[in-house]
Amino acid sequence: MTTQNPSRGNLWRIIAFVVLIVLAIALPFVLKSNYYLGIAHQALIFIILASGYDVLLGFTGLLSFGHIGLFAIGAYTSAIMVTSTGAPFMVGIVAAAVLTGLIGFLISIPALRIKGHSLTLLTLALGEVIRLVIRSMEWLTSGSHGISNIPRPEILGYSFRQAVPLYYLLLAFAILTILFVWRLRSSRFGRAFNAIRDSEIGADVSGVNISAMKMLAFAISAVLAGIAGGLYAHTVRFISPEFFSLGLTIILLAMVLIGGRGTIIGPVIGAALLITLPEALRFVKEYYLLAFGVAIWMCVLLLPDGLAGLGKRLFKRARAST
Amino acid sequence: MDTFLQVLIAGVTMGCIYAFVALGFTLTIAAAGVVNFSYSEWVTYGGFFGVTLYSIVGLPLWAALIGTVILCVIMGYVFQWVVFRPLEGRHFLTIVTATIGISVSMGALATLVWGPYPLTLPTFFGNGTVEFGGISFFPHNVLIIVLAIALISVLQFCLTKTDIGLRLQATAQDPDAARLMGIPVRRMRTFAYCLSAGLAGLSGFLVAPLFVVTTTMGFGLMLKGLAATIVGGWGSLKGAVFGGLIIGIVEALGATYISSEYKDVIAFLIIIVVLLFRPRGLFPERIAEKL
Repeated sequence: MTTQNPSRGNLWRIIAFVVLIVLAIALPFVLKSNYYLGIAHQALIFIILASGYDVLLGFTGLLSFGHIGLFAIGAYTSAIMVTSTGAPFMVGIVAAAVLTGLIGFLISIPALRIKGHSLTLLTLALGEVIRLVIRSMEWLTSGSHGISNIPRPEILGYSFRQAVPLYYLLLAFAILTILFVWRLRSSRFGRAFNAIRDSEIGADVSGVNISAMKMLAFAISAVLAGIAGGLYAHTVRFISPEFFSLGLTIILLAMVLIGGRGTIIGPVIGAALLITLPEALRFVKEYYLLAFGVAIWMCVLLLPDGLAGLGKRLFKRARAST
Repeated sequence: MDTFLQVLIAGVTMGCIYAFVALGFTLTIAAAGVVNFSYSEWVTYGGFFGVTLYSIVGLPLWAALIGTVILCVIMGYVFQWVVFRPLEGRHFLTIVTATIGISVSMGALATLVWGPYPLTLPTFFGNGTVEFGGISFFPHNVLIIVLAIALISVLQFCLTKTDIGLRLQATAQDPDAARLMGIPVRRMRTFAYCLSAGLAGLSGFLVAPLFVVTTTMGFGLMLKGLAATIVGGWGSLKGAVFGGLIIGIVEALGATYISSEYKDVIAFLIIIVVLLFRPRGLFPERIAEKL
C-alpha cells in the first residue's frame, strides 16, 4: 500500500490534491452554462456520498446495499424541515446528518452479528423498506409526487441561489469530506477498519474492538450520506422516492469499485466519471448502460483496485524503469 | 371464507413462482458457491423468449414453453464458460458485483432488442375464470401449482434417489472431497447452471400471463426469491421451496387483510425479521458456511 519512502509519497499526494483543488476552483470559469454546472453539482454531491460509502466498503470491507436509503433519509429530513418549518439550511443539513448518523448506528447493532451475504441482504431489505415507507407516508413526504420547490441553500443571509456560488459551497463540502476521510484513513480508526477488512479474526486477537469499530464505520458513512442527501435536496430542488432506487445503489457501488475501493482518490474519480459520462453519452443511453454493465464486470475481474490502483501500478512501473 | 380461499390460491400461485426463482438461485450457490445476481435478467429473458417464440415465430404455446426452457438452458451453458468459471471460488463481493454488472448489461440489451414497451403472453386457457365450490380462480394459477408440485417432486426424487442427484449433493457439500471420490465436479456444476437457467426460463414464461413482460419483470421476482432463500436458509434447496411458498402466502394475505399499500414491504420485513432472529433460516443447511 505505502511507497518505500512514506514522506515522499505523501508529498506527491499533497501536490496532486492541491492541483485537483485548483482545477476544481477554476472549473466554473470554463463551464459557462447552468446545465454543465448542474452536472458538476451532482458530481460533487456524489463525491461526498461515494467517499462515505468507501469508508464502509473499501476501508472496512462491509458490503451494504442500503446506503441509498440513508441518502434518501438525509434528503427528506432536510427538505421537510426547511420547506415545512422554514428552518435555515444549515439546521436542515445538521438534522439530516444527526438523524442518518443515528439510523446508521442503529443499523449497525444487528449488523454486528451477521456477516457476508446476510449483511448485504439485510441492508438491501432495509434500504428498500426505507424507500417504500417514504413512498407510502404521504402526509409527511407527499408520497410518489415527491417534494418540489425546495429552496436553494442560504447561510447567514447569503444566498447560494446562483449556480456558481452553489458550486463553490458544494466544493467546500466535498473538500472537507475528502480531508476528513483522508485523515481518518491514517488514524488509528482507519488502521482498525483496514484490519477488520483484511482479517476479522486477526484484528480481534490484535486487540481491535470489532463491534465498536464496525459501529463507527457505519455511523461515519451514514453521516456523510445524510449530508450528501441534504445537499442533494437543496441543489436539485426536487426529490421523489423513485430516484432513491436500487439502481442508484448499483451506480454508487460502481463508483467506488471502478474508481478504486479503499483509496481516497478512487471514489472521487468514480463519482466524477459516472456522473459526467451518462450525460455526455445521453444520445446512446441503452448502449451506455450495456457498456456500463460490462465495465463493472471487467473492472471487478481485471482491475480489483479500480482506476486508482491502475494509476498507482503504472506510476510505480514508470518510476522503476527510470 | 371464500375471499380467504381465493387469496390463498393467489398466494400459493405466486409462492410457487417464488419457489422456482429461489430454487434456481440456490442451485448455483449450493453447487458452485456462485451468487448469481443476474438471475433477475434470466427470468426476464425467459418471458421475452416466450413472447418472441409465440408472437413472432408463431409457435403454439406449449412449444413456445419448451423452446423457452431450451433457450434458457443454452444461455446458462454459455454463461458458465463466459461468466461463472472465472468467478468460482472468488470472494462474495467480487461475485455479486460482477453478476450485477452482467445484469445491467443484459437489461440494456433486452431494451435494445425488445423495446421499452410491455409485451403480453396469453395463458393456455384464455382469460376466463373457473367457478368451483363458490370460489372463482384462473386455470392458469392451477397449472402453475400443479407444475410446481410435479417438478419439485421430480427434483426431490432425482436429488435424493438417483446417482446424478447424489453426485450433485456431494459436489455441493464438499467439491474437493467429491473430486477425490471421482465425481466430475465440473460436469455437475454445468448441470446445476443449466438446471438453474431452465428454472428461470420456466418461471419467466409462467409468470408472464399474470403480469406483463417488461425489462424489470425479473428484478422484483428475484428480490422475492432472495427473501425466500433467506427464510428457507441460504443454500438449502428444501428451504428455497418452503421459503418461496411462505413469502407468497404471507404477501397475499398481508396485502388483503393488512394493507395493500405496504404489499411490497412485506417480503423485505420478512427478510429483516428472519435475519435478526433466525439468521440461518428456517431450514438451515447442516454444512458449515461455504462462501
